[in-house]
Amino acid sequence: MADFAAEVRRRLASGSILPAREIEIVEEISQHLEDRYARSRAAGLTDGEALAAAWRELDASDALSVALVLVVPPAPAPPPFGWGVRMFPRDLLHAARTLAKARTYTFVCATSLGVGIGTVMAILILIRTFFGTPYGVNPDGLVEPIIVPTGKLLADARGPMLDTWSYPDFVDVRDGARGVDIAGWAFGESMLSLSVGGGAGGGASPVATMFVSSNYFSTVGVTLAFGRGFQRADDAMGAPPVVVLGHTFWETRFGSDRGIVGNTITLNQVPHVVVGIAPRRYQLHFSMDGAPDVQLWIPLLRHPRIQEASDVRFDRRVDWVRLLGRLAPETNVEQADAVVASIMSGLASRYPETNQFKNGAVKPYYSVGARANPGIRIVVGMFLAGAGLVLLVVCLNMSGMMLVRSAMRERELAIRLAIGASRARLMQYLLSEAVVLSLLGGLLASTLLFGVPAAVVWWLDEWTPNFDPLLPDWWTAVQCLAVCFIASVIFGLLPAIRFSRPSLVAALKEEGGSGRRIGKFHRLTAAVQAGLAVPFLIVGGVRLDQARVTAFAELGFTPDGLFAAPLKSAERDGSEERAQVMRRLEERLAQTPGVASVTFADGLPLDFDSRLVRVSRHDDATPVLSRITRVAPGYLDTLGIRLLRGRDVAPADSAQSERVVLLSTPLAARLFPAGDPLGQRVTMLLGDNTRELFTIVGLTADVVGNQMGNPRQQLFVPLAQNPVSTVLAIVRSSVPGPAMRKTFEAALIDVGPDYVLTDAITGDELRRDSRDDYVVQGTMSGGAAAVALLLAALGVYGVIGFMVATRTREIGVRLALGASRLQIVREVLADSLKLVVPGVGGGVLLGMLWVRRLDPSWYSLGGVEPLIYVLAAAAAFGIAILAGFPSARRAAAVEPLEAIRAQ
Amino acid sequence: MGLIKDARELKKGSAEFLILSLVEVRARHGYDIASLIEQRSGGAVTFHAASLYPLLYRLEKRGWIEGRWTEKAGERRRRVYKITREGKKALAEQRSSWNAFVRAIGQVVGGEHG
Repeated sequence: MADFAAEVRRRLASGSILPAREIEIVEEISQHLEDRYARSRAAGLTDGEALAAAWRELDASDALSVALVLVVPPAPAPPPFGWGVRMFPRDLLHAARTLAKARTYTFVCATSLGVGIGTVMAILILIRTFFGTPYGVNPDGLVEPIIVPTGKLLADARGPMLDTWSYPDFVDVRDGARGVDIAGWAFGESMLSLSVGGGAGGGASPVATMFVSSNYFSTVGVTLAFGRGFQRADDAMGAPPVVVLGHTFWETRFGSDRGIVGNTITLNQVPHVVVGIAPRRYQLHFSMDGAPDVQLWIPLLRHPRIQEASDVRFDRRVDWVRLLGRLAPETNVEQADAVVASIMSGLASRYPETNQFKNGAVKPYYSVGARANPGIRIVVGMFLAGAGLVLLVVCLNMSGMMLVRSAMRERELAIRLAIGASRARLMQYLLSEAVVLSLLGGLLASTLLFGVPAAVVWWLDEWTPNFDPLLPDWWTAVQCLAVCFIASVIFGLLPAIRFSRPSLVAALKEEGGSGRRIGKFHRLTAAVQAGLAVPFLIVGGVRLDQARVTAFAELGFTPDGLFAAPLKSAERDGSEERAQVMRRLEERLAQTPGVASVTFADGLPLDFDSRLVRVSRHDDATPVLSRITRVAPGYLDTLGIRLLRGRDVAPADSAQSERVVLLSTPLAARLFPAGDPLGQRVTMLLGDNTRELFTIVGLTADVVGNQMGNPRQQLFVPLAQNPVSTVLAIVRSSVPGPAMRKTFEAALIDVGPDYVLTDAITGDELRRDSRDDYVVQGTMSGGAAAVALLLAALGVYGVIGFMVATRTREIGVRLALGASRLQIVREVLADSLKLVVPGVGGGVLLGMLWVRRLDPSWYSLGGVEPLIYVLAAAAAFGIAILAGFPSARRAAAVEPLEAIRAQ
Repeated sequence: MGLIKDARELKKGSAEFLILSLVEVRARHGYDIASLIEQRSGGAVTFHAASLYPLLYRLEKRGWIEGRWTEKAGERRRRVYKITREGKKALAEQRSSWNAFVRAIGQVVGGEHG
């Protein structure tokens, strides 16, 4: 038979009849048509004739609607424009009251939204902290002159632009560029004499320093807190030394004494006049991971490079100065670019030997630097996409949870519609619940994000500029509100649309909510989340197993009894003075009871410092990345590294003698798969972009690199031939760590009053730090898995809960027909499992791939691998069952008769 | 034009009168009413659902009839209409004026023919 009810409903659609009345009219008139049809059939008419007779009852298409509009009480007129907005606060209040009654639901929703919103906020804060314009910088009109390498320079540049300039190139560009004010800068370190005023004694401590041209602060757009600052005259060679102090440095070292300006402090044993204090919170004009904590600004010409060899001022081969420019008001970036390009082209023709392959260009200011910007943009994009994904997943879960809740309240919503609530009003009400939940989530996230650091600071009673980004400000508040709004719209809209349909009223009477089905999208997200948790669990498990292996692994050196401490000196390139200090220290320590040997190097195994260098065979240009350690004689013995063939670094390996290198077995095998490496030569690209030849004089056993899991290819070169600014003194002794530290400190003060013991490390600590790193990585991976599992649990709960809520009648019927409650529980739990099976399967595969990518050569997964997969999958299934359990219980508690009658 | 309008008014008045008459004795549902009208008029007067139900709702709104849903074992529920006190009054008035009208017409028409 035809669907008369649908046709009658369709014809009434144009009338504005109260929904509840409409249902009755549809029922009554459709019955009339059915009766007419039945009687016609009984009278012997064909089906088509009977149908035609029934349809004739409705006359013209709009007759019914027009006639009824005249007699049936109309639906209330729509409220005036803006009424909904005025009702919104009331809706919010009502939603808050309703949610307060559903405490568990509200708690679960607010917590998971907190996780989502917190993640997004944390990522936004991270992006702002690492890549945002630093405090105090005026980015308008700020530019960065860069070098575009060509020809053979391009091959070594590892990118399409270079950001360091030689000093003379900088001077020529600065002096020749019209329309742009160019400043130069370079990092360095200064040794601050601990007795203010330059008095003798008291030792010295290293302070991170930025060496800048006099126009640096004006170019950046920073006004000093006070003091005259640098002047053009300070740029001259031989000008009286001056310094600008960082605000924190001034506060902590000089007790915020304004009198320090105009006075002198001793840096690198030279008195410097303090000419200004940088503004509070100003640190650097750009964001750079691992940038030093700059506390001093000193004129560029006092940079150690120039102090050591004043010829560097005229050397166009050595690039070490970075530039920054401020455009004049009438100049734009393109004009500045043309100016700098033309200056560099002139220099290329005047100095082809050094400048032939250098083109000049000007890029807009990026807080991470023009060179790093393209890569950073991708990273930022990935971060944002990740944040968006987390938020989307959480919102879909919330949407699922709200569907469950709405399905349970279907009758209430239907009554609201039936008594005249408009769809828009109902949607607004449902959305207002979403808004309240989002605000709760945002509040939770903000409390954690901003409250925890504040609590830590309160606890430590100390504030450092590192915490500044975590200070709540209006911009963060706006971002938080925006995230909350987006979240509430995403997760509130679907249930709001679904549960405000006019057909809901029909459901009230006819269907009782059955027939609704959870969307494929929700099912898919629940499965994907369960799947996503699995690889994290697997990797976490593997990391923890790696920590176990690390604790017992063959390291290739003997950590027990090692003690190492850095000797920091402002003197770069191994001055004679430092060499003497090292010699005296070695002699002094060697006399200490319990000390077996003493050596020096720029690093240790397991020190987390990669020190990578590109090395290639002399006769083959293919480069291999290797870890380089610059070592003094006796390094291998002191560390307990076995020398397999050839010789160790010897005292005779001086700056004047032939350059030599020792390779570890993995590197030798890589560079010389066949043949004897001893006596062969390799090329290395060292600092200052110069290639040098080294002769292989020794082969060592395999020894661990900067961390257990990383590649072990490494080489050792003599420290005397390859000087560095920071050298570690390394001692092997039977003296325990704390006692060794005291002995070392006493020896250091004795032999070199300008050196201080800043930090030290023992072999045990090296091993422990390495193992701890795996534990931390394992825990972080486990934490990520826990969050993913939590989200997955919510997803499963939402989907299964909705399924149960919409199948109450069916469950009631089955119970009435004799199905046991246990059977119902089992079936619902089986549904939960089925939901996550594809996700978990995919997750295990993903985990296998991930583990294989991570798997270092030294670590074999072995028997632990299947166990980890099984445990990870079991955890995901377990969570699915747990998440499905409340719904299963609800399903089993259905009273058959009530369910059937009520529905 | 005026004639057609008057005829419509007449039919409208008659329709209300017919319905009230049919629900006077006992409560009836819409299809029952339509069938009885058709049957008793020998098919001369018919009401389609599209016009019958608006009429029923109007009478109900006016308070002359009262509709309520009734259920019988083994049958769907139906909405049946019964006459109210006001409906009875209105029916009595309509009946007397109809009788007067028929009498008057009868006298006019009957006088002509004999």
